[in-house]
Amino acid sequence: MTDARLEVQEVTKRFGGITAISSASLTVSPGRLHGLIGPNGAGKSTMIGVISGFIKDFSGRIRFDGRDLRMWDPATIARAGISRTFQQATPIAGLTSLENVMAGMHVHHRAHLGSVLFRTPFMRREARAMRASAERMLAEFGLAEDAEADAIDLPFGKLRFLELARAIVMRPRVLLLDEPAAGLNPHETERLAAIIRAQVQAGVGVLLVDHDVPFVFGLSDQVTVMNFGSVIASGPPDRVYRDPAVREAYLGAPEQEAA
Amino acid sequence: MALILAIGLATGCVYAVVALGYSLEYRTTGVVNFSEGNYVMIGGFSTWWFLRHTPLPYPLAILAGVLLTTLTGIVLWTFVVLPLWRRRSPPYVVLLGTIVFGAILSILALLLLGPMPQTLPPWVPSFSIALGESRIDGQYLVVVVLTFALMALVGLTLQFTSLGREMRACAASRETSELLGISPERMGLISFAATAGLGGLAGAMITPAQFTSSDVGLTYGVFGFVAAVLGGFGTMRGALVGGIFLGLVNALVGRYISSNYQTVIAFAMLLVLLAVRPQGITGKHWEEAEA
Amino acid sequence: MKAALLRPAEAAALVLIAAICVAAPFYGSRLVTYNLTVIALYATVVISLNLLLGFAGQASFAQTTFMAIGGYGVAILTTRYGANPWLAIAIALVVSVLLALAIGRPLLRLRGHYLSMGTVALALGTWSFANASTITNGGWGITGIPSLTVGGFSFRNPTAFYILAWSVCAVSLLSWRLLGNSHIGRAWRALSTRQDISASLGIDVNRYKLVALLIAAVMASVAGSLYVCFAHFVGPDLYDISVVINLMFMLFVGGLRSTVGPIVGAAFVVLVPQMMAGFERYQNIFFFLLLLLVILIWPAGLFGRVRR
Repeated sequence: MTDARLEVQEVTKRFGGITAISSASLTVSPGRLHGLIGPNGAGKSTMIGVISGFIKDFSGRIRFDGRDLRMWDPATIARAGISRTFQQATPIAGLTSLENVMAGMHVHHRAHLGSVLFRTPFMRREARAMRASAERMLAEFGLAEDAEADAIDLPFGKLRFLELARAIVMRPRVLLLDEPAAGLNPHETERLAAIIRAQVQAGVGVLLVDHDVPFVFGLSDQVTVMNFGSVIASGPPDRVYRDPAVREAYLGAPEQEAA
Repeated sequence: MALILAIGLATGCVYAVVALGYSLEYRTTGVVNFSEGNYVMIGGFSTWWFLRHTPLPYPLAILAGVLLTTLTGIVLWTFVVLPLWRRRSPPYVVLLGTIVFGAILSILALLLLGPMPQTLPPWVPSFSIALGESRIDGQYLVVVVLTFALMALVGLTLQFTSLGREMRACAASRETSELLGISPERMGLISFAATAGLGGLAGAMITPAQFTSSDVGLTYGVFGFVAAVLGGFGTMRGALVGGIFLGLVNALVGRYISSNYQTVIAFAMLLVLLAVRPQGITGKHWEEAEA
Repeated sequence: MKAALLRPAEAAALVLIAAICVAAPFYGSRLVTYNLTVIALYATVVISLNLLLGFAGQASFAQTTFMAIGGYGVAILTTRYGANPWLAIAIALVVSVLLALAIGRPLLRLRGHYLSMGTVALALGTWSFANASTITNGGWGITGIPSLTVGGFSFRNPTAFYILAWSVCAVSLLSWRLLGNSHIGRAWRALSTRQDISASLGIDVNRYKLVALLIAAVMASVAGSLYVCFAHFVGPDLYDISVVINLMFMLFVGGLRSTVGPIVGAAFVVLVPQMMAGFERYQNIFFFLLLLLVILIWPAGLFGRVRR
């Protein structure tokens, strides 16, 4: 495995007159979780959009695998090993939960059109293996009983887990999580944390963006705090937590932390 | 040559009105109404019928035609578009609905009014203009002048009246306008009724210079759409520029190649434009974000 | 797309259709065989729509264009250049594919309305061209297309053509299902839902849209060619706006994304007019009103499923 470290270097993104991100840098290392917090409008989601290739026309560099991803389109970035979730969990309509997760395995399929049409042994083997993987994944996420249900019928919490499963099944080297805990109850949040921890232990580099500060701090090896597009602090959780600039800008009264 | 220019300008003005209709309806409701061209047909054809079969004097016959066309627009909105709109049907379903509605109108016109093309008397009797060596039917001038007047009127209404402001606000989004206390459904009704009326008037205007029949609706609908995209979909200026441009091109094609090739060439232009400069000639582009 | 297994209603319908198809040559009249042949060919085009629109969500109204290339291609190449009909079908197919490749990229980049309107304009442009051009013999159409032969065996025999037509239909349907249940089908469903999410899953959205269009073009072109070989005639009215609307009708009445829907829808449109003998003038309006009703009141059609 080559350099699977994701380095965001001096990225600045302006939307018209508004500076969403100003000269921000951060690094996501394999097997480490990097938390990204900040008030609304701080530029956190923009950061994910920039890294995953959905937001273009920015200055700065995104280095991964020894290459600069700045000009790459989202599909290519995904295939390179960077997966993401979206703030709004959107299942693919018309597919079951199992099929949704299998859709995440798209990057692993090698069979092409001809193989599918002629049902070659290769294609059938591959399909069986993918299906088995997807079923295992669903079980791990506690969604086994919903495998054959239409994904859009799932309740909110399960949709979040489905979204996460779909991203993880891509077996990424870097995982970008955009507010995965939003709207989850404490029990679900704990399960989420366990899943994320397992990914980190497996060597995936994770960038976790969320409003739930204890949640983020509990998982992070390193935390970056943004405000008005700029990085105001970055470092190990304890140090950041005590940083006066951070307290002033964001943490303020502890009651304000809930999502 | 002068005649070709006159025809081109006049038909171009009709395309512009149709294009304006597309833009207006699209911006207030997000719906592309492919039955747009039928308003032109109904306006002209029904005016002929009123003139022929009722004792109404010519101006009132035109009014009756326009009112009937407006009614058609209201029917389309209320019974076809609104139910689908409320259900948030995918765009192509609504489009299909308007296409089918238009086809039904066309067939009804055929059944009720007959297969023969008809024409109308000129608005200003014996009005013709001398251009160089040729004498040109003055109706063409009537069309052009009235179209510009109508578009100016629409523009002023949109810009300076509260109704216009509300319609422009709807262009942002359904949800936003609801928050502002505007009823998007009422706006939709008004825009559909208004564009129908305008289309009907355009039909009554152009028929004396050409003719009308039950199947011209589709053609005007297609050309109006191409004109809208050519000029820049969603803008008034674009509608006018695109309409006149296409009108002139069509007139030239009709004269020097064959009128049968007009759709083909229009489509080819459309395709090239969409590939190269989707925002149209005037450079403004109304793009709808992917759902 | 509760994929692999058919719902009971659909499975039953499929069995019934298969039974009818097998029995028809033995017990049915020539009219029955004729109708079923036409149904098979139209169903094939509707299946292509069921793929392009049903799976990939691309609302293209221009399948008639590929049908026209298939139909006129065969007619022109056989009558004017003496080509073997099979070769003509193949060449027309290649032309269809080339056209799909040429216009596919710019066309499929269009969103929602623009794609639909662009393809409506394409369909109308095709009809217009067929009416206008000397190559297509304008409104007169082309007659005298020879029969398909294999070795010494001629498909002039209605039963033989019947089998050929249904074979093509069956292959199309099978392909549709195989693709639908594969990762390709899932990729299509993904891009039909949200293009950005699909991209985040590593799906090359543009390529997959184009593949859907290509497959649909192939099906429509072959069906178009075969129809012309069957009818020994081609004319512009085979591809006018009514046909465009009727194709959508067949798809919707049968049920979007259903397996038997295309066949059932095609059967409806082919058979009902024959029961309305004496009312030809009102046929079109009847169908269009019905389609409007289906869209407004019954969007799922006979075998489709509608969410919410």
